[in-house]
Amino acid sequence: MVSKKVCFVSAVLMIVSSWTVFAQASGKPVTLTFWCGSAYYNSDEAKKPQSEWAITRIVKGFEAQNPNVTVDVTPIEVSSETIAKFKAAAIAKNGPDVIELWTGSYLFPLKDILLPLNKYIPADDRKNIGGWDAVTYNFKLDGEILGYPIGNNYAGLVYNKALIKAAGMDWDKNPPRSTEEFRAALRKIKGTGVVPFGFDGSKGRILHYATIYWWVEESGYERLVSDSEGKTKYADDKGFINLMTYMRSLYADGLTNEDAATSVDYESKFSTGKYAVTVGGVNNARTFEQALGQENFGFLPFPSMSANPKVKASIIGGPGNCVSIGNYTNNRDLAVKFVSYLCSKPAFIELTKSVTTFPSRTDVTLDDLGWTNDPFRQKIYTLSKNFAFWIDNSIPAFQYDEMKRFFPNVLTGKLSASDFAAQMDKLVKDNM
Amino acid sequence: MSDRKRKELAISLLAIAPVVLVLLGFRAYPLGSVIYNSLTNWDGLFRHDFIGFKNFLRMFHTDYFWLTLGNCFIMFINVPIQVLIGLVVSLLLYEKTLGWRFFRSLYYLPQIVSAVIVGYLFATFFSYGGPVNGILKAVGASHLAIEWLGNRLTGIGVVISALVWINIGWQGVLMLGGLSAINPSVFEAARMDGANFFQRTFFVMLPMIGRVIEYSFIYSVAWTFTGLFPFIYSITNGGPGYDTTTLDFLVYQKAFREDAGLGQACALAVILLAIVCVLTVIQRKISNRANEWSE
Repeated sequence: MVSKKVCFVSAVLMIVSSWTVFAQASGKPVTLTFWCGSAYYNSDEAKKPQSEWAITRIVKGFEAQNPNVTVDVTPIEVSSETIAKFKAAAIAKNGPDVIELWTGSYLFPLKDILLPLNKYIPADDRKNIGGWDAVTYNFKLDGEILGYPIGNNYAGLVYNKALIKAAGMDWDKNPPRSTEEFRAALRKIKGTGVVPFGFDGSKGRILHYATIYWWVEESGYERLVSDSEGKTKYADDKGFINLMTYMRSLYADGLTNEDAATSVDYESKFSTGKYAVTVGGVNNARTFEQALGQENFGFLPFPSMSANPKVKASIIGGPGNCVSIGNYTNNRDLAVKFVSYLCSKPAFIELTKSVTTFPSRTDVTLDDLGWTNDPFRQKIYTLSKNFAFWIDNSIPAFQYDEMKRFFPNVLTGKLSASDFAAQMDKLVKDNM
Repeated sequence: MSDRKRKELAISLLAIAPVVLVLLGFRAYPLGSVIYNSLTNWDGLFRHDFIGFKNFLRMFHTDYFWLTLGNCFIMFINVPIQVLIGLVVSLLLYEKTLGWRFFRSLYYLPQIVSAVIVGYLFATFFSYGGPVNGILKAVGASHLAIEWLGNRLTGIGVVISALVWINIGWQGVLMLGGLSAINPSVFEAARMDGANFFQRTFFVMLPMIGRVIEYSFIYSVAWTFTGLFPFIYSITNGGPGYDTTTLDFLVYQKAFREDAGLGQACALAVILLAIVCVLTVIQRKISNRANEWSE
């Protein structure tokens, strides 16, 4: 009786699966759904009809190659809320076939609803796309690959050349190379009556762009991960304590904006010449460049905090996003084909005309992108050969959120660096 | 039971069935589901093990739970302030003070603006470089120009100001409705007996709109526990640290900011429900006593 049931179920499954394959092969219309995030469209495009977006042109190219396929693109903002919606839709098995997500620690908890791509990825993609470790479960080389890495953003310090020159310095020729040289330079700028270093401590950009870089540099990734897993303590991590102490001292010495803990307008103040230095990535550099003019806009790799750095990279970044496939999809092969197409060289060249992030393909040259006359992008392109990967994508999200929440308190001296580290250890312990 | 009675019962049940079904579907099921999930370690996906009261115990052992609960109680200050201002506004409108038609619309205006917009407006006004500090500096009170949103008490103060500002119109309309329901002959009689404005207000009007004030208090207290999310989100984002986080905002943070926080978020929602229920019962008891004589 049982075997009869098994036979019946197997027969039904075989009929359904062969019908799906037959439907695709025989030209039966198939619709792929794609929840597409901001790695595929920019804020200017968002103001225009979707038919004018770069991603629409890319999708049309795919549809032209696959006449029986329609891709239904839904723009989303990748966020914790969207991920929660995706989880609910995936459980109900009506989620999108393809979705843009964040990489690393944001991606790994979704393993149970994503299709492992290891056996589907063409060799050419494996070879020519960088950043696979960011999408490989728990960063382990033999783990499941949960998406294609995309949306490469890189960050460092950006500065107003005119204000630096007014303080008697030329960072193009002689940039500060250590954090103490950087402090001395900020003091000189302060002497000219300008706010030397402006940022917003509560929104997190200063934290995941600059501050955290110094942590990786001094402590190294292994220590960072072992702190976050509770195997070692934040309280004993010199790198963590030093960076917090350093940022606190910059604030206490009046080398940052007074409202660094709560500022809502540091970008506009930097753009209007009120701050000399701030943190910036390729995603907001274009705005700064337009506001200050190319001749006044400068990019500074991070000065080094440590004499013996464990990681020496100068910039932080990498693929912060990825495109993944739901494991419930009825169109696995087609979805993989679509994702591979999205990450093809022509697709990236088309996309880069619109978005600011860099392609994750290593075979796309500056010439291909038309950036040969763009000194900022040239510089980033060169530096991006060696970068430190985003820390907020490397440690569990709740721990990074706690850092973001309490960093303003450390900055303003309401919480000491060591108390903050102890608080992080307690959080790790409570969540184990 | 006779056939007729049976038929009547069937018709009655059929008549109320749609409402009962809607209530069960949209109220009872989510409520039951939240209570059940509060006893699990639900991560929003497939992990859904029963863990008893662990979520509750864990919450009670954290410092931030008690801090956020304390913040909710501090936020209560907005209730008497908005009720009082609403009452004054309604009295001015009721007495048809000069320009009352214009002010009637003006007072209600904040109510039709989105809470998030009001929040961002207050965040901008009270930002370090914002108009409030600008005015303080302009009048020579630079020492008072502080980081309003960077400290617990001033941050909560800004949120309370926003709550009061947005609710004045609603409170005014509510009280005005209560006042309009009073028979004008009562006021006439009071006037003929020589009662002045204040005597009419305190000894005639207020007792007669006691039930309206009670409703306003109960609703506002429940709202203060459950409706502050858009304000906190847009004004302080709960910071610095957890200094201005309220319980309803914490529910959101647990649910969407942590990998496995949905079970804990449900536990917080259940705690919130219990607190609101207890407070409502207490308020009703106090209010019933106060209103006994008028009934």
